[in-house]
Amino acid sequence: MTARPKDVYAGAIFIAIGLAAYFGAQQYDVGSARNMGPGYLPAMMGVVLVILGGFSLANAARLRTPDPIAKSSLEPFVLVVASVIAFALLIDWAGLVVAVVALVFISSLRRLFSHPFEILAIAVGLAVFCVLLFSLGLGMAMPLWPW
Amino acid sequence: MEALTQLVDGFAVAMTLANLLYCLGGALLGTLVGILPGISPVVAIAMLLPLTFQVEPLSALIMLAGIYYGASHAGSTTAIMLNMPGEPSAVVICFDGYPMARQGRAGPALAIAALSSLFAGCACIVIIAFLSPPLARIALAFQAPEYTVTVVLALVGVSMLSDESLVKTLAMAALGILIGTVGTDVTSGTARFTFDDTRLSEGVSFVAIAIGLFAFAEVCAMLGSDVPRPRILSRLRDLMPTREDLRRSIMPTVRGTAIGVPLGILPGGGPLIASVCSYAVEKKVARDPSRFGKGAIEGVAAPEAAANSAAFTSFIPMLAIGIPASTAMALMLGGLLIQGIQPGPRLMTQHPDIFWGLVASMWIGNLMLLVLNLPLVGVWIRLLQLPYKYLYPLILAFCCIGIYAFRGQAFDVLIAAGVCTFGYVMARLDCSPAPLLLGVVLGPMFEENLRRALLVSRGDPTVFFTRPISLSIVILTAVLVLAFMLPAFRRPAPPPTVDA
Repeated sequence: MTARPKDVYAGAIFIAIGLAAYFGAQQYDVGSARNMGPGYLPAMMGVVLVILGGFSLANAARLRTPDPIAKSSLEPFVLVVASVIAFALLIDWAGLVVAVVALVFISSLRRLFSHPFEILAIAVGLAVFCVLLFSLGLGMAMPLWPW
Repeated sequence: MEALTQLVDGFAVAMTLANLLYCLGGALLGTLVGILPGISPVVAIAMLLPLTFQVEPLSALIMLAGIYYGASHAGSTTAIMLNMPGEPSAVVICFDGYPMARQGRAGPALAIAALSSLFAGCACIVIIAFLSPPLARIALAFQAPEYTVTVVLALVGVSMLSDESLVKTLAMAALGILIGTVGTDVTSGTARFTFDDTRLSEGVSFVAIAIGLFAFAEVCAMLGSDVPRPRILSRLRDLMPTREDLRRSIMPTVRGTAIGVPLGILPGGGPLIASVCSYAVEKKVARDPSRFGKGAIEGVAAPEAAANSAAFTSFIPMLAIGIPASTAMALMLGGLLIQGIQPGPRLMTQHPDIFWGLVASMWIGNLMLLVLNLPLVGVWIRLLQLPYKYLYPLILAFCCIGIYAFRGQAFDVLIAAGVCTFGYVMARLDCSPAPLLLGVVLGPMFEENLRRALLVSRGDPTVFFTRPISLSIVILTAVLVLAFMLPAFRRPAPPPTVDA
C-alpha cells in the first residue's frame, strides 16, 4: 500500500471521470479543431483529466512523504445531505412549510430526542419566517402548503 | 477633457433626490438580500429585476448596480464572518478574512474591506474619466484567442492559490469545465450529458454548485467540529482597524486597484479573476508569505480593492460594446434591453447621461455603503451571532430556498446535495473546490472562444502565439506555472486549508 492514498484515490477518480467524459462525448459530433462539434470540448477535457489523473498516480508512486487520509465523523455530513434531499423531494408537492420543518428535524436529528420542544420551536419559527420573507416579502413563487 | 465635463454632468444626474434614493435603496436591499447565505448578487439582481421595470432607465440601472455592489459587499461580509463566499469573487476573501474573524478581528477585516473598496472606487472613477475612450479600443482588440487564453490564465491562477498539488487542482478546474458543458450547446443546439432530462437542458445551476461546494460543506464542517464556535465581534469599537492594519493595507489596496482596472474591462475578467489574481500577487510579493491563509490583512484589502475596481470597470464592456463580462452584467444587460436601451458603441455618444450617471452613482453608492453600512455591520453580525444550533437550520433552509428560487427547480436542490457529497469526498483527498467552481463559471466562455479562435485560424493552434496580447497572456500563464513548479518558490510548510 502506498504512503499517499489521497493521490491514488484522487488520480483514480479523475481518470474514471475522464474516461467516461471521453467516451460519453463520442455520442455527439466531435468534429475537428477547425470545426468543433459539441463533443469536442468534453472529449478534450476527458483527455486532460486522464493525463492529470495519471500525474497524480505518478506522484503517489514517486513521492515518499506519507499523506494519509484524516479520520473524521461522517454523521454531520450525512444529516446535512439527508435534510437537503428531504427539502428537495418535499418542496414541490408538500410546500415550503413542510419542507422547512422536515429540513430542521432531519438536520437536528442528533438532538431531536433530547430537546424535542426546542427543535420543534426552531422548525415552526423558521418555517413562519421563511414564508413571511420569501413568499410574502420577496414575492417568490413557491407552494406553501400540501393543499 | 470632454470626459471630465461629462463626468461632472454624470454626478449632476446621479445626485437628484430620486436617483440618490434608488441608489440607497438598491445598496441596502442588495446588502440585506446578499447577507442571506445562498443568495448571490446574481440571484439578488434576478430576484429584484422586476422591481425596476416601472422606473426610468437610468434610475433602474442605478438601483440594479446598487443591488449588485451591495450584495457583493455582503458577499465579503459573509466570507469574513462565516467562511461562506456570497459570490465567486469573495472566495479569496475567505482565505484570510475568516481566519481574522476567528482571531476576533472580524471588525478590522470588515472595515478594511469597506475602506479599500472605497479607495478603489475613487481611483477608478478618475481612471475611467481619463481612459475610457482608449480603454474601449483596447477591449475591442480582444478577440476569441485572447478570451481563450485569459480563461486558462484565470484557471491556472486559482489553482495556484490552493496549497495542494497543482495537478489535483488543475484537474478540478478541468472537471469544472466539463460540468460547464452540461446542457444545450449554444452553437449546435445539441443537448449534452443531459440524459434526456429537460431539467438539465439549461446546464447545471451555478448556484447549486456554489452552495453545495461551499455553504453546505461549511455547515458540515461546523457541525463536525467539537470546538465551540469562535466568538465573533462583540464590541463595536472592535471595528476600528489598528494603525498597523492601515499601514499594511495601503500598498495592497493600490496594487489591487491597479490589477482590477484592466481585468474588469476584459470580458471574462471581472471581479472574480481580479480578486484571485491580486491575492496571488500579494502572496508572491509578501515578505513573509506564510502569513497568508492565517489572517493577513493584505489578503483582505487587495482582493476587495481589485474586485471593486473590476466591478466598476466591468460596466465598460457591457455598456460600450454590449458584451456582458459576467453573469451579473448579463442580467444588467437584460434590464437595459427591457428599458429599450441598446448598449453598444453608440451608447456613450447617444446616452452619455446613462454611462456617466451610472459611474457617478456607483461611487456615491460606495460611499453610502461605507457611511451607512459599516455602522450597521453590528446589526448584521448580531443576526449571524445566533448560536449555531439556531443558525445552521436557517442557513440550510435559506440555501435550499435560494437554489430552488434561482430556477424554480427542486431538482437543482438535489444536484446541490450531490455536489456537496462529491465535494466532501474530494476535500478529504485534498482537492480544493474553488477551481472546480471557477471552471463551471468560465467553461462555456472558454468553449465558445476556443471554438471561434480555431475556426478563424482554420484549426491552427499557433493563433494563440502569433497575436501580441494573446502571446503575452500565454507567457504570463507559463511563467506562473513554472514559478509554482520551481522548488525555490514553494512554500516550506503548507498553511491550513481554509477553503473547505
